[in-house]
Amino acid sequence: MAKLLTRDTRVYIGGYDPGASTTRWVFSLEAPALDPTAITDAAERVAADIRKDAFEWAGIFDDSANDADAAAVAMIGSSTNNVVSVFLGTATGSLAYAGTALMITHRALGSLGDMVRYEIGFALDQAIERGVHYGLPTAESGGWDTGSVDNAVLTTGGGSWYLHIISGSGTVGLQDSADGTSFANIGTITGITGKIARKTALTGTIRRYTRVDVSTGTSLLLTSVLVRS
Amino acid sequence: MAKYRVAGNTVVQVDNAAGTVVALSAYIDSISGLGKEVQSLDVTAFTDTAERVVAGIEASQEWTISGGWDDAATTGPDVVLSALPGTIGTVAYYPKGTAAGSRKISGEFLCTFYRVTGEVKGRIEYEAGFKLDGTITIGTA
Repeated sequence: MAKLLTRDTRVYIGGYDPGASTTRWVFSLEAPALDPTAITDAAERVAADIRKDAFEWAGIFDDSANDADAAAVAMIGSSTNNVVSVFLGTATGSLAYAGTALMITHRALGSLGDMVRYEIGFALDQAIERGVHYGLPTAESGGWDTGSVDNAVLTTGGGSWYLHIISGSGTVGLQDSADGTSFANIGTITGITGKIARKTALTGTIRRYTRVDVSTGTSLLLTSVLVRS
Repeated sequence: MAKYRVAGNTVVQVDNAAGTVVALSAYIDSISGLGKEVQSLDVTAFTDTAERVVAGIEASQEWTISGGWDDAATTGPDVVLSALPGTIGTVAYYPKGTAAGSRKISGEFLCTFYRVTGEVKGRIEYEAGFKLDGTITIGTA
């Protein structure tokens, strides 16, 4: 049983890393209530609407190349490279939430006596998903992997692979294994030449052990979330 | 006649996504009020010197729980509550505990949201919201 301080979390927005300026993040899994109450009901009835998840980010304005202002200018209104992820813990295998989000608003604001601040709002495209993350970003070259996560059991319902490439170039694979020794690709992204933030749908069986592998690369700065169903 | 503090007494149980009862009391530090609520309908007419009301049907209460986010497996708040939005399950609230004869307030609730928040210099917090479907049961353990 472990509670968590905010300083032990990380946020990645569309391949950008605004951690050095983040002061608040919120993700919300939401299913609004519909009213199906009819005249024969002795009490109000409710039914679930479809999921309408949300994600918010707030922080201190920073014009660094990989921070929130750069992310906002690149992502506002775009449906590509639009993955958002929150890591609840810094070690590989820690819980993470991820989703694909349409950035719908960003603004800088300020008051006397305060830092210039920044706020970003998103509308989630599909539901936020709960999974595990594969380490904080480190610049890697070919022949490196994140180390494997032991998920205890295999799953057969496919899943989602969320990948943030912050910088660098190369080929990245998501791999699984039955024994933690012999791994094979179950998802691959090739020809990486710069910043991307992509969700890859996975189908079928995902075996017990999983990891992210850099087969070829030049200073690839990346991080990843795997959701298994 | 006795009064009771919350700490060490109040018990909150929810159904997980599989319909199994899970006690979340160890992870909750605040709940909104829960009891019974009925609609009041205005039947005031011209000849009345004061507003008149009659009872309508029982109202659908909204109820929230919150606390420090925790990644405990199987019975922790994140693993249980993250799977509930959009599902209806049983919620039971025991204000003074589960000893036989103690007040028990229960019903079938739609989970309308599960929210996690990280604020600088603080701990991770969670909050979950529920909305009553049908009637509440005011009974005993």
